[in-house]
Amino acid sequence: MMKTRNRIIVFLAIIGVVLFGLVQGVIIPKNNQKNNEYITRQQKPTTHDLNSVLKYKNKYMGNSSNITNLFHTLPLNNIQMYFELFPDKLIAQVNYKDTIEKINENKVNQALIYNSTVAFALIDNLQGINYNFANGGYKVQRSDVKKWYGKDLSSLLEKDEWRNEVQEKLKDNEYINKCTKAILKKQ
Amino acid sequence: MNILKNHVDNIFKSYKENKQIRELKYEVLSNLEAKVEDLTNNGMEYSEAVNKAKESITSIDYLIDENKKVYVNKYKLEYIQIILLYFIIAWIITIPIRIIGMGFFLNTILFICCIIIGIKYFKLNTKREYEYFECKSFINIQFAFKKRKIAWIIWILFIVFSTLLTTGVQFGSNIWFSRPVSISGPYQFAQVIIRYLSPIISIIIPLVFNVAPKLILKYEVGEDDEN
Repeated sequence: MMKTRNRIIVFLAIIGVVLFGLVQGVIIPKNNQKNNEYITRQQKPTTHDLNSVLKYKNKYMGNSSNITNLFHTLPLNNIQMYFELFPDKLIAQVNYKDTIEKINENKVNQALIYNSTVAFALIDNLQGINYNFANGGYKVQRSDVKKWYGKDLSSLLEKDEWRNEVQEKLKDNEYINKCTKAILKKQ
Repeated sequence: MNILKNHVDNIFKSYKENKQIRELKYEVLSNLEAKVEDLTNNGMEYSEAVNKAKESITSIDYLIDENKKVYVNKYKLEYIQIILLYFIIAWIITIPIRIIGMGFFLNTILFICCIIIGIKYFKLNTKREYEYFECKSFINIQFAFKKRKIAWIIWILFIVFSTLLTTGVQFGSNIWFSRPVSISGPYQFAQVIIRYLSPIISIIIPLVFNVAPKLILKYEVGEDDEN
């Protein structure tokens, strides 16, 4: 009996080592790579996954944890930031701790257009967003964004609509420049 | 006579006081007193007689019904082998959950346990001396049964507690605010399932205690072996 059990122990130990090697050497690195790719995609407005933020849909901008969590899953979330809410004016203020130049102006413009569109589409009574950076900032009004897209912003939240009307267009630099002039007001 | 009483108390100190133990104590003490009296009547010094009587009984393990004389090293060897087998099975079962959060921690702990138990088993298994495996000692089977019962009770309480705790942490706010539970994808679902199931792996602990009484009976020294 003990000899049989010894053989079972050796057999199981071999299976364990093989399985361990497979999980540790193949599956976990592959998963980590996938996660890193996902995080990188989430940093870019053109590849950001809309599904990851749909859970933040809310009628009211006064829900501070909701709005904070939303901005932490949008592009520019790698930059240190803090929030201020002005519920009487229905305005949210995002204060980034870096300068626009350090991040890259084109990247900032593209990200702010995207982030504003997401925030206005998801949070019904949010009327304005102030973006402050270490060396300046922008103001964005819901009315300007709505005028730019020419439709109700929540109607953009369909998968295809979002890709075609928001993400695909942000691949074009000329579009970004025009949109920046139309909706991002320098403070 | 106080010296003899202290000696008797000392050799019974690892046993809980009950009717059988009280009777045995009385019987042993009476025997020792009779022996001292006998020796002093034959001209021996009192202190020498007491020492002689004390030397005649240094252990009463064989007098207790619950104590089984076993080949203690054979018993230990098989016991450690079974513990090693259980831990290896638990380690293999938890390897896939290394991918998810605390599964990594649980599996690493089990791996370390396997290594430690494996080394211990290997060391014992390489001993080949005849005397080593013929070494006999007393093990209280009643105590082994009691430990087994306590281990199962603690394990059941632990499972109930950990299930309630996981439910509280995972769904407490949903229950409190009557909000529907939302699990956003298969990864999150797997995380919830693993949080509920991973404490069950601790079943190896009561199972280890479960084996002890069976092994005591298996390695009990028979009358033929005694001769």
